[in-house]
Amino acid sequence: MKSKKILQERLTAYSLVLPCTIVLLVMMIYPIIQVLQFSFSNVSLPDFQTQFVGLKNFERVLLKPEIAKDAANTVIWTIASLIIRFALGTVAALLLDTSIKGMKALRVFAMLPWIMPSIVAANVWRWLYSTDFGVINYFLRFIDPNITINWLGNPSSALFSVVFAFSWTGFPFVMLMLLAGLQGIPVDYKEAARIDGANPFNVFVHITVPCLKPVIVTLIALQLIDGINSFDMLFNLTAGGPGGSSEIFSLAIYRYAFSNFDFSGSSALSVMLIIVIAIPFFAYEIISSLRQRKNRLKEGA
Amino acid sequence: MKSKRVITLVILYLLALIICVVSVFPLLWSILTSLKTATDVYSMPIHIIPRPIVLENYISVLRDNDMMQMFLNTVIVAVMSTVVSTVVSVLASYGFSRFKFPGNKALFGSILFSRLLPQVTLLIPFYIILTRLSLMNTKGGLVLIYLIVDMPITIWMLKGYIDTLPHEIEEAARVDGCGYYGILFKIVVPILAPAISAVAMFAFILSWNQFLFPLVFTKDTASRTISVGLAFFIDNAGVKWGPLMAASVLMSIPPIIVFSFAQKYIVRGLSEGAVKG
Repeated sequence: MKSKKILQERLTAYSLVLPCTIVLLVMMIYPIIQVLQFSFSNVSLPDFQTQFVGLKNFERVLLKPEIAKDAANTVIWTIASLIIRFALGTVAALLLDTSIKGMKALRVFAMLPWIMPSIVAANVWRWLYSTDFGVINYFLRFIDPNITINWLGNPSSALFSVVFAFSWTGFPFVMLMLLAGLQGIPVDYKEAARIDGANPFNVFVHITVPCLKPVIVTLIALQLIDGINSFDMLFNLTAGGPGGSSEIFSLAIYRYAFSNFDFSGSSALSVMLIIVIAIPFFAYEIISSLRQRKNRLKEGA
Repeated sequence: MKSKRVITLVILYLLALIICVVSVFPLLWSILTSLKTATDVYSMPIHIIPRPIVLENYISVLRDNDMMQMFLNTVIVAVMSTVVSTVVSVLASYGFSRFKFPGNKALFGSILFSRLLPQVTLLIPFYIILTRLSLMNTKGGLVLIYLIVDMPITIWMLKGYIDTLPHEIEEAARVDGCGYYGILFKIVVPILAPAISAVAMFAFILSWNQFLFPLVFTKDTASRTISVGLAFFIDNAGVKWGPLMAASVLMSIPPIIVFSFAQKYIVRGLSEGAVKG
């Protein structure tokens, strides 16, 4: 009788998750297998015939002259946008967490960059950065009338110009998550610290930051991944140029596949990128499941 | 003491003002540009306020059949993928939240992982899948692909909401002889209706804003979305900034309206996951 009930429960559970399992199999598991297979093969077009060639594709991709530059750009892109997003997001979240009048308006306005479609944000920034007619250079000309900075067309400024535009689209998410964390801190903690004579800075360092630690760790992970995965902004503003000066791995993967039609090279680079993302993910999953087991043992004892 | 407070307040307001300006100015500037005549767009010194204020850019976009077709495509694809991914996610998140079964954790972990995969690494396999299914260059193909974009985050948010529901009501219904699917559709779904619709709205925004997949998997205006149209808004004379900014403003309106309706639930759904870790 009891086993029949369990069987019925299991069947219900599997029927509930079946549709999403199918989507996962078709749109994630199969694609990953496909990318893996291509990365170890010679792919002939147009029928996608594959021939196993071992690690040759990886060797070929890693020996490309631009690969070191791409790696450096990916690191700079990811870290710089993480820092700018956290700087803007932290200030905005702390402001919203105060009970000062009028901060609600800040929340409404600050959400706009995040909700806007990425292609719209890209176009808007392309227009702002325009050398001759852009409003940024226009304002700078009040300081020095001879300024004509080619923000997106100059190898030394292209990457950072897009980093700023990309950070702009992402800081509201950091703001929202930090704000949710801030509002979850019990008021008594801060009160107690204040009564003990702590100044606002001490309260921030010794109460606020430690309480927010889990949120911050999750956010950093999400933002790093978001940086590595990003494509739209760079593709539309510089397409990796000029001369590859703003190309990151995600753009290189696209370029290999759809400009050079080098599907195996593109897949090899994809596999490396997926591994970079998978390692911290699985490390995190394993650590948190170990921690859960430990907690359960403690509760049991 | 009092003057110190005033100074602090002034600094805080100043910071808030700076962040507001940084957030709003780019969009405001594109709205102002969209209201300018073709020559006023390039006037030097720049006219911050358009002289004269004209609607010709909006009219030219609205009269452009290709643009309207792409706008319609975007609506169809976004709505379809939202409906399918919401139905799939309601079922799955109830399964994950309420049942213990072998593979539960692994499956849920895979869903989270699919959210972290770079879209660009999936282009080649998706290209092959769509070719095999004869869905290249179709709206149906995009709907299928958008599922893997929307589903992870909708399942994740909905599971968070179902987890917070007390079990008692469902147990009472069980005792009364109600089946699992009956409980889901007669009790859980109605209680969570606001949250489910907010999650659906978030899926809609995600689908609406997609760029890379329609860029690669659509080739003409019959299936192309507006986001791709905006990337190719260029002719022999260069970028037409006035109409481009008008089209950009129009494209931004639906996600902004939808978000303003569902803001509270979306923010709660997203942040609960992050706060829990």
